[in-house]
Amino acid sequence: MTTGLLPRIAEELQDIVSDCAEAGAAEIAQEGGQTMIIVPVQAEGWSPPVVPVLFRVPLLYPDERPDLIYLDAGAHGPSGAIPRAMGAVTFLGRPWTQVSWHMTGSYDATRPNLQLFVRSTALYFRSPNP
Amino acid sequence: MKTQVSFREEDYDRFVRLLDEPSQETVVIAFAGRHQSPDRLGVLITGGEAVPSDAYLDRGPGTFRLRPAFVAERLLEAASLGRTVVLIHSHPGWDYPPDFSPIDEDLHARLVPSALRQIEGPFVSLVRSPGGWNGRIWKSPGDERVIERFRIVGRRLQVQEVPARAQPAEATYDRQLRAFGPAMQRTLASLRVAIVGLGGTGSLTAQWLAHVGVRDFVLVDPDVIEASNLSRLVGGRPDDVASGMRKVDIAQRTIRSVAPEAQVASYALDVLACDAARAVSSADIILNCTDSHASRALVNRIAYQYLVPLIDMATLLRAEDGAVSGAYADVRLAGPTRSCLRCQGVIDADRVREEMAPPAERAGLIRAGYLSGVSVPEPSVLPLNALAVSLALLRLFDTVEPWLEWPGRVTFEARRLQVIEQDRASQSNCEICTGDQVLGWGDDRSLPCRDG
Repeated sequence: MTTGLLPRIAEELQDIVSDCAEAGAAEIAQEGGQTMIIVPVQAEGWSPPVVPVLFRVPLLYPDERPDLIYLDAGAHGPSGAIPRAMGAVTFLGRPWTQVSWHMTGSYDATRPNLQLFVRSTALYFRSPNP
Repeated sequence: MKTQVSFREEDYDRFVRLLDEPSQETVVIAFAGRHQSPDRLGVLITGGEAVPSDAYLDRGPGTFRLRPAFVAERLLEAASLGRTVVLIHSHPGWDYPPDFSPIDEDLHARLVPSALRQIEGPFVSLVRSPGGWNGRIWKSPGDERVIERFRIVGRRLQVQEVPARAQPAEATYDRQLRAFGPAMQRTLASLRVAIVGLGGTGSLTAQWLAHVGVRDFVLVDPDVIEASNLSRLVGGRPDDVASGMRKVDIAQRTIRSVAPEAQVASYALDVLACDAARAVSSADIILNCTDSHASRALVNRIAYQYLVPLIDMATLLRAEDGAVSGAYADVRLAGPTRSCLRCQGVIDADRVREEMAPPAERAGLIRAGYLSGVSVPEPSVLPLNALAVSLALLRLFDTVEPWLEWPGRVTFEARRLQVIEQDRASQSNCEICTGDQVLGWGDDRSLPCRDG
């Protein structure tokens, strides 16, 4: 029997699901060996007001720093655009906009970095932004 | 297909103390991870307990019978944890490797089919006497094989083969034998060594290991030789550059020029390719000779998941406008009982992220100014590489026959002739080198590698 994610990472994803429960149901998905989590994020001034945001779990996580976010292709900010958009990509058969959004600061692989990345992203979107 | 059982040293020593009790047969039940590669089939034992006295129906110097309910509970527990079961018992007083008795064979006939209905195979039965070990492994009730190798991994790496390997040619290794004795030479001849990266340090490592008596290699490197490699890639020739020869093939040729009989499995792949990663997991010891942090992260995981000691080496030459300000050869030891490379601070999460980015994403990040996109070849010279390989091979000798008094990480600064010693402990919440999320899980946890 082969299990995919290490228990530590699986637990961290479940914690992210719990964190987001207020905004909606998060979804953990796999595609081509890549694990992803789609998180509903309350976005002040955005359309729609709850934006599905996809985070990739890096293959070598937690030794690989999580990076970039992917917004539902139909979403747009108060200005009508998506700031720092890098281009269109397809995951799970759906179009997404890749956004140059990065986790900053020192990195300690023994911390729940993906959860911290999701939390800081959600916090950013909760306050009014361009 | 070689069959083998791997133990952590601490478990092995504990089992031997329990099993060498002279007056009666003793039973230990261990849970284990599974490990199958193209030419190896085995289990990785981490933990196990002596059967409590009230679980015996009968116990004496020549026999034991366990309560069926106790055995059924252990099988159920192993199945629920996704592990397999190793039944270990003793034959007290034999001063030679024991055989299974007719009573044991009868037990196998009854127990193995029932066990393999409850747990995914293989099932393993071992018998121990003070004179040695014997064992069988079943993938299915009709597929029974003798265990041919016992590996004990800890401060020291021990390999016991059944039957024992003949002593390698004495004349060839006379000077080495005078230093370390025949046991180490026999172990070197029985080791499978994986070399990840066959460039400056890896090519030398391959050549020197062949000289010292290693005869079974796994070589991993995706690259072909370039003109700029000729000053450092040992065994490389100008005509190899002209023909675009793969570095693994050059290393194989070098090994065979020293040891024509050596077994060499070459993978012209990144170690992140699952085929290469699985081959590396079949090694008895890994020498990591790449400067890729992503490769280092994966190899670090393999070392704990498959109970394989890991020697990681690197060189750093600080130079500007032809002036050298620092020259470092750095060797760190990781693997079961040691802190991992992450805890030793030699895996950079940003470098891993950069190395793992697909080309299109990388281009986008360079345009966005997030990555520099400037990749300048690092300075490198053969003598400094040789220094790192010297330290690494001394470390390998020490892993087989302990004699060094080194900490986990040793850095030699050649310019000022300084040695920097470091011994960082495991971080208490590291899932790689502490706890039970990775250690000894073998194939029962998927590796973070790329298929296809």
